[in-house]
Amino acid sequence: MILSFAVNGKTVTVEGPPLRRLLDVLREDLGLTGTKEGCGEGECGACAVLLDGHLVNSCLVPLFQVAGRSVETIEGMAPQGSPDALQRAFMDEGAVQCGFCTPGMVMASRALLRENPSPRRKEIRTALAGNLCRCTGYEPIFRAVEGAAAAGYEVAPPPPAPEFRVTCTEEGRIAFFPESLPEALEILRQHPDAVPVAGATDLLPDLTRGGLPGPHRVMDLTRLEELRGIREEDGVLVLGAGETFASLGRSPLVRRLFPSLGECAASVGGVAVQNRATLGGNVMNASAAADSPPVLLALDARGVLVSGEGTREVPAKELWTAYRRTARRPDELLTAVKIPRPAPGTREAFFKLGPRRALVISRLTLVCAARLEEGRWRGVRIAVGSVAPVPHRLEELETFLEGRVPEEGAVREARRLAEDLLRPRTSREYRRDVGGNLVGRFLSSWISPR
Amino acid sequence: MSEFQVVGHSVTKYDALALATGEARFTDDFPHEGFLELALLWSSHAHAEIVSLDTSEAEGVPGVVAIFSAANVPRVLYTSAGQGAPEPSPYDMVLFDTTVRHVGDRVALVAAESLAAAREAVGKIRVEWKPLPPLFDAEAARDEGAPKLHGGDHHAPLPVPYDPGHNLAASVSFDFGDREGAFDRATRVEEHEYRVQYASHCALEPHAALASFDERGRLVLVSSTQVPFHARRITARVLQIPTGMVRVIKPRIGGGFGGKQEVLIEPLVALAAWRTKRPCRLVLSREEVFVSGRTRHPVRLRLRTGADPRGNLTALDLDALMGAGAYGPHALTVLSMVGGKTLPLFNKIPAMRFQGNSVYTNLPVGGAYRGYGATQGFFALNQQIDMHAREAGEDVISWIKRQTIRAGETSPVFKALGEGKEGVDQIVRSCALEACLDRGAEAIGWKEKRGRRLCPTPDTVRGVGVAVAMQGSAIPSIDLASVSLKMNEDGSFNLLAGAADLGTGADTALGQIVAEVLTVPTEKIVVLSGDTDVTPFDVGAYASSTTYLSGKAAEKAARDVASQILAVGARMLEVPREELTLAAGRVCHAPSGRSVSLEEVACDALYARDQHQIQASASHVAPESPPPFLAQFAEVEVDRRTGHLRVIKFVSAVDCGQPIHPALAEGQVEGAALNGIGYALWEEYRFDGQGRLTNPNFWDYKIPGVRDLPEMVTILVPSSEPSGPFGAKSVSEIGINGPGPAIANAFFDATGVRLFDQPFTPEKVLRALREAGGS
Repeated sequence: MILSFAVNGKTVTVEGPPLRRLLDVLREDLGLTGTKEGCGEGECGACAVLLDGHLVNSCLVPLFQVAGRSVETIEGMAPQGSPDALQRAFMDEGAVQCGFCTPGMVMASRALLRENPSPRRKEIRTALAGNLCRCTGYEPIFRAVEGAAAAGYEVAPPPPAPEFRVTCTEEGRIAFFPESLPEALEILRQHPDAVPVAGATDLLPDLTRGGLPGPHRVMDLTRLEELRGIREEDGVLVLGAGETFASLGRSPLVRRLFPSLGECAASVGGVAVQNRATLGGNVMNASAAADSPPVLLALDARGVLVSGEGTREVPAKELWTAYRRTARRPDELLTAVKIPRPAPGTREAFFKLGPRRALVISRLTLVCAARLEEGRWRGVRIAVGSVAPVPHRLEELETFLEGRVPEEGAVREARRLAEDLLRPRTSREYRRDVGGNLVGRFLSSWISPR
Repeated sequence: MSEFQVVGHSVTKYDALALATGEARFTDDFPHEGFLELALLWSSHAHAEIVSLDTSEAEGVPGVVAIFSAANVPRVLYTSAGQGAPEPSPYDMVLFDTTVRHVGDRVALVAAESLAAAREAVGKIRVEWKPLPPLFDAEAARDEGAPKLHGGDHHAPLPVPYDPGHNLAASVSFDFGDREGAFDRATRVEEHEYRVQYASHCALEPHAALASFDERGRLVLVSSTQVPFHARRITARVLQIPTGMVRVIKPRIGGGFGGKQEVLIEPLVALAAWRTKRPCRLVLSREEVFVSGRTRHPVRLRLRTGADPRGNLTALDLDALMGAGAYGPHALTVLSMVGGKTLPLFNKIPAMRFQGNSVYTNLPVGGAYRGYGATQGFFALNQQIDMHAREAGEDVISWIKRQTIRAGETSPVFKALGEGKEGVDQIVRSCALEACLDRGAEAIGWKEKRGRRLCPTPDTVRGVGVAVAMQGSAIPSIDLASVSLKMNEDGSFNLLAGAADLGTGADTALGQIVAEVLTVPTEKIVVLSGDTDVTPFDVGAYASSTTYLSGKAAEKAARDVASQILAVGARMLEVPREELTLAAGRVCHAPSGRSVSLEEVACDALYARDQHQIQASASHVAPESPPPFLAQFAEVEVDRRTGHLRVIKFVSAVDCGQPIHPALAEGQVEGAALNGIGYALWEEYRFDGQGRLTNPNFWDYKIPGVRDLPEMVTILVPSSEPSGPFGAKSVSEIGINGPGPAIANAFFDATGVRLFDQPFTPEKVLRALREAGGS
């Protein structure tokens, strides 16, 4: 296909297959080699660029989704070879060692400073969490960002994007760009093999790793306004399936009503991944290690599946049917996730356990919710992910706890029961142990409040 | 602050600007239009014979130009270890063999007009395998019935122990003192087994190489290498063409850490280019780096130590079993350094034995990795001294001060353990370890925290621990560095250095040394390094050598040039040369107050009288390898319910002599420390039952990111090494040696439980706590 987009304010027209990585287009077709490839999986951030002002990993952006959008790369910051103040700060603070991660670090810092001209150290850490450096200990990089901010570094708004114009050169239209939900549903009706693509953060690495050619037909979901929005309707929180983890993590409504969902959103990848990965994608990709499904399970959420025939709401318990399988029919689209407002006094806890704190593919996700009514536990919901092909609730444990009075014996018994109910295939003993301990930690919060 | 004008100051790194703007070129950033793209077929078997290899279908893929395999590539035995010639590593590999020895071993190479075509063709090569019994357990490698990986004409080019009949890639041993008597008399004996694991360097830039031709038909390689000259020599040898027919250019390098001290892919691109007469390009994917690149050697250490009633060590016996993997690059030398770069630190011990064996297995291939054996050795030693100090009721810091080497002292280990030949006797001439311990202890809050077991929550507990280490500075009497230096009309200088800046800032450090001698700012020194056609020889960037060794060569050349400048100045000013000095870029005659500028001197020499180019070349080989010293402190928090072990604060205090560029030196220490923290806590190779790596990517193999970062404190403790340029020693490797044992010791301080097996994953931590009844 042939399409146009802006790179550093200049319109370029390129030709290539829809799923060609933006990274390759930049480096190979446009000769912009400042953007580097370190891992090809969105884990290192060396390929980070800005897309419509948002930080993204260009190895995870398929070409067809940049049509009519504006891309900023490291080359755009120093058009005449004179560094801008941020680049100079990197130089002055000794933040450049081998320099391979530097362009990505600079772009991540630029994205941060555009939004937040005087970030605190903690905010800098969050902003750079998706960018790996093996040479420095990151300290000089933090100092560089702080230095640029202190010097009043100003970031111009993203340059404008050209008009959306796409020509599909191959027969049978292999990329679709619906502008409305009905249009999208009609495409799915005609082409049930068309794969809806939102953030592509799972799709592209899967293709790269498997060496697969990819689906024949793809459909861009990023233009559908109907998949957007975070709002409350009649005591139910409605989350658009196209909302990114970045917007979920930032939403005061989500953070206030469902802290575990907010925490979960903030724990998915680095900023560049959070800016692309969507709630709908995470739900529909149905990875056993996905972060949001256990949360949605514990919150009694429902998925809204829409097709030309109508709309149905599927409870979270029925959404994931088997490993990487969902209840969605090929002609349906997940448009939203609905979560009932929690009863007053509900406490939630989100535990994600992996060998490392940041960016782990989770080895155990445990989400708990419960409240105390007249001295007894009520509304107990406990869901787990990563320990079985599909995430699930620990219903026996919930039943055991429901209506019980918080005391040490009950916690001990609940811990034991949780261990019994967890049956992971690997690291069995450890994950059961920790699962039990974490359930115990959640319940103990009613006994020895901290 | 510094007694020098340029040295000791954190001047602007030469390439920082170009790197920050993205203009600097790494290998894959060079234009490669019209190049053939290369793709490899890797073995999916850990150990198998290739019965037949059918490429007919693959050759039919449009765009395929050539396919290389054992069937059409001459069999030249070599080692991929980028070491001096002949290498102290066995010649046990060929470019393509009919036997594969690990998953990720090379089977065939496709050259095609596009990467897609090359990859498609790789998928269409049909291989008939005859599986051979695999060997995964290093402990069983020397058994009579164990599968044999090597034999036939495989051999060691140097007279070193090599016994493929017992899967022995290398072995070393030394022994002194009445060890058994000392153990008999010891009041306390500790004997433990430790394990350190496989790890990947994870330089962010994967291996990449381009091959093309110059107008004389010579092969020009642009490669992401730490060893341009070794890469040239080994590539030429494998291709059986004269060394002079190959030029290796090292552009900007995205980190190496030892992984690019290996001549891994240069012979492949060179072969494809030479045979097809087309330029070729090969860039490994991250997964390919993991499975086919080099690794840190896993080692099982058995350490027995005896102490007298005061806790002084009286006997030590260290047995190391190293898994070399499928081939033996660095198998001997890393093994030697498990003892050689660790035991001299404890030079008060009167009786010692070190025995090491490096065995073949059908697993990924070990190689050079920052720390080079010392990391593995110090993991065991530092935990065991913590035990002895505790038993003696002494604070481990004062224990270390009494028991470790000091300036003016030596150790018999220096001579006993070399790298492929006997080591050298040497007396340590600079050592600030005591000050490192004191300043580090203060920074971590040792007195307030040690033994306190503070509990921020009911489930968590904290502790602090310390580890000490040394390293070397270049391989003594083996490594050679050289530079040439010439003067230009404007008083600038070209420094052509054989050294290979792999992203460390070595070019800048060398420029500073020259600038200091010539009393000019660093901007006046134009450094070009890493081009075998242009610069004189240098072994390259390994063994922590560049600042110390290449820096000394640069200093020598600069002093020679300075003296030539003075000679011209003397003639110009018509005064005796002895009365002249160089200061602030001028030749000054103090008695008369007259001076001439360097510009005037250069023009006079080039154009006026007694015309000549002011220039010099210098080589340097060091007869000794002065160790830098280090004390590292970890403060950890343990979650008893999840096994999560978190480093809260990490302090490194290092004596690297006079730092040439303090910010870059700190960067080396901090980066190494963080790499070591990742190695201690998460980084490991996980295999399935068939020897396949199950985590060959950054999703599953985690290296430390910003969120994992503890509070890091790095202290450069000054000393001055008489044999180094302006008092400098090395700094690049040492920082990775302490995190593992410092964290393990801190964990013990918090919980009373020992961790003998890296990495300290939550799973292992929880198990250790439970086994000790602590959970």
